[in-house]
Amino acid sequence: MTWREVARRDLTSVYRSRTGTAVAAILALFTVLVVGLMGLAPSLQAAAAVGGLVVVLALVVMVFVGSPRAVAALVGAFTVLTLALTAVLTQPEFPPANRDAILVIGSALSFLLPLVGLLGSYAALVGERETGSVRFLLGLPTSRDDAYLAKFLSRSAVVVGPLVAGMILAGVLVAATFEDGSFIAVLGLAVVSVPYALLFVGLGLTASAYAETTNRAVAIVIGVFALLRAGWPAAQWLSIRGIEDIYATGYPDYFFWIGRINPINAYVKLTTFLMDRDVHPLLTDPERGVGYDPGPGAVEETAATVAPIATSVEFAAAVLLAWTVAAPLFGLWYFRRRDVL
Amino acid sequence: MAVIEVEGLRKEFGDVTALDGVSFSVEEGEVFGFLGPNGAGKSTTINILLDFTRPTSGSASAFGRDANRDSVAIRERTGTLLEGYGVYPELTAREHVEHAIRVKEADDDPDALLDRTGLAERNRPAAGLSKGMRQRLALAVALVDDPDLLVLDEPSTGLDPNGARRLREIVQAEADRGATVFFSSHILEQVEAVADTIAILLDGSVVATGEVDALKRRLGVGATLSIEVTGAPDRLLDDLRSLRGVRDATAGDGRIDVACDDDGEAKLRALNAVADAGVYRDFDLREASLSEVFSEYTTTGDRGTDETRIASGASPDAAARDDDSPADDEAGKYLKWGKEP
Repeated sequence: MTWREVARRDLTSVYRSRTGTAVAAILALFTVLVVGLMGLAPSLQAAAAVGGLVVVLALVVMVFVGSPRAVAALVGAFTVLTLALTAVLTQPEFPPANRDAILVIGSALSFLLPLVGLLGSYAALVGERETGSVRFLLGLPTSRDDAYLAKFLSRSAVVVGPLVAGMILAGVLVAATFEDGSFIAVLGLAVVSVPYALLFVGLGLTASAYAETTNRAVAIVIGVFALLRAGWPAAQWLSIRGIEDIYATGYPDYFFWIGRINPINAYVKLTTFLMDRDVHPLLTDPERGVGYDPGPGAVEETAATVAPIATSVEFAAAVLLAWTVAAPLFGLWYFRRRDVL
Repeated sequence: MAVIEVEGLRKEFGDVTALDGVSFSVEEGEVFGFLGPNGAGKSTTINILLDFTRPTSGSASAFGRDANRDSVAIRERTGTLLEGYGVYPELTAREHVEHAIRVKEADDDPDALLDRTGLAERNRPAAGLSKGMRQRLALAVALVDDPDLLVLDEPSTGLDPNGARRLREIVQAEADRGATVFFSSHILEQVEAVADTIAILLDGSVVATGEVDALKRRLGVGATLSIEVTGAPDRLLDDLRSLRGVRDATAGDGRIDVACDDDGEAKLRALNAVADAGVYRDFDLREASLSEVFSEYTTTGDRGTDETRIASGASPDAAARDDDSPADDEAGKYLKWGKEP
């Protein structure tokens, strides 16, 4: 059982290379920026727009700056700057609401964590095959199972470590500056976000176990992200194209069954649990369009009849966990039986 | 007792057959030379032995354990220096060795191992090491935990003459310690310098195997008698071939080449036969080296490749010959023996 030592070594490698720093940097920047900007921006839209621009800018700079130490310094500077701005510009008379914090951070992470998780893991195995260091990895008495487990653990740590650290910082900021700001709610968001991040680490690792080259692995993870984020909703909309007057009849049950087994939707649904509301701008509201005849009690009736299981929080939790467990196992199954050289 | 046993190994990559029924065994404590041109399948054989690659059919085992099912147990007792390995660019040479020591749960001193292979640059990231330095690093990793079996694939790649000599000394010392050494190379001199037993691999098949001396004898390369003649009637060739101690006789370019066992009687009988036929003019005698065996195998028929011709220093066309030139320069030109008598 050599996975412990292999994971330790892999973690060292990743943190000395650009991957680890980049992952940490993106997460730290994003959480801090999102929270900080919300504290001072007059509207959520403005916060999102400015935050997005700054992050893109920072990423571009990172690509050119290169060395891990420089990137870390850059992130540190951004963090301090943002915290200072937040402290100076926060308007205590109009504090943003806690539920907005969860909404914005949760929505942002639903996009960001897939990218970061996939970035952190796509090269883990195929990269070693490409550089030839796999001859060290598996020339030593390490089983393929141990090697795979070690890679999963180290790459998970690379993503989850900065995520949790960033969320704790975000929680402190939210609790201090937001109306009814709740540290616990942000921490709850972190708890939900960890399996979500692990799911994409697992998917990236599976791609890495399967692909013949790192370029192919990149293509696969981009494809997976596009499929889940864009292809899936497109398929959903196509599935209801033939239905006339959808606003009168409401969406069919299968529309929600298809949609809610998507792990991104499952994650978003889980975040609604933390902010005392059922609807989310990223999710189709099961009641939408059905309230054509809004008689008394109509809302409760339809809420109970349109795919009540698929749209429940419990179902979302089950879907997220199932994906998280299954994603890395496909790769392990393939990695066990393939030729690594 | 055989440390390595390979039986009927076949490996197909798509429609390319890399190994076509390879069988050999390596006895405990011997230095086994695995000789063959690039692309013959040496690395594929080693990859199967170490479970990087799975055979299409056939079996490989080491220490009586199956190469696939019990790979970790094999690798616990094996040190490997494999062709095409890559270092972890972010780790130092010392950290590589320390990692191997921890994975193998050994108690070696990393500095002592690096001293032994002659690597002074041990605290710099391995990305900055030259090919020769990396080779010394990999050799140090291979020597961790005094392995019972050393698998070296093209170990002298990138080494300067000093490094190559040190490598030979280490191989010798390891063999003296009782380790079995599997030494794979396309460079004959290196194999001949260290090996007790040699197998020649060509185009996916073992074409010859045995102790170095026995191999020469068995292949009829004790010596070649080159007789200048005025004519070479077929009957004379048949007579020559039927003589005791004569392996083969071929005619061409005013000469008859008679491959003899290493015994003066046979040569004398051959000369007599030629003289009796009345065509004798002059004769020349050449002791064959193993390089002739090798170059013969790799240049006769349609199996030859450019690389092997270069490697053996022999020209493929057996036309011109300068009587004054030393025999070694002419390696392989005249000898025409069958694959297996």
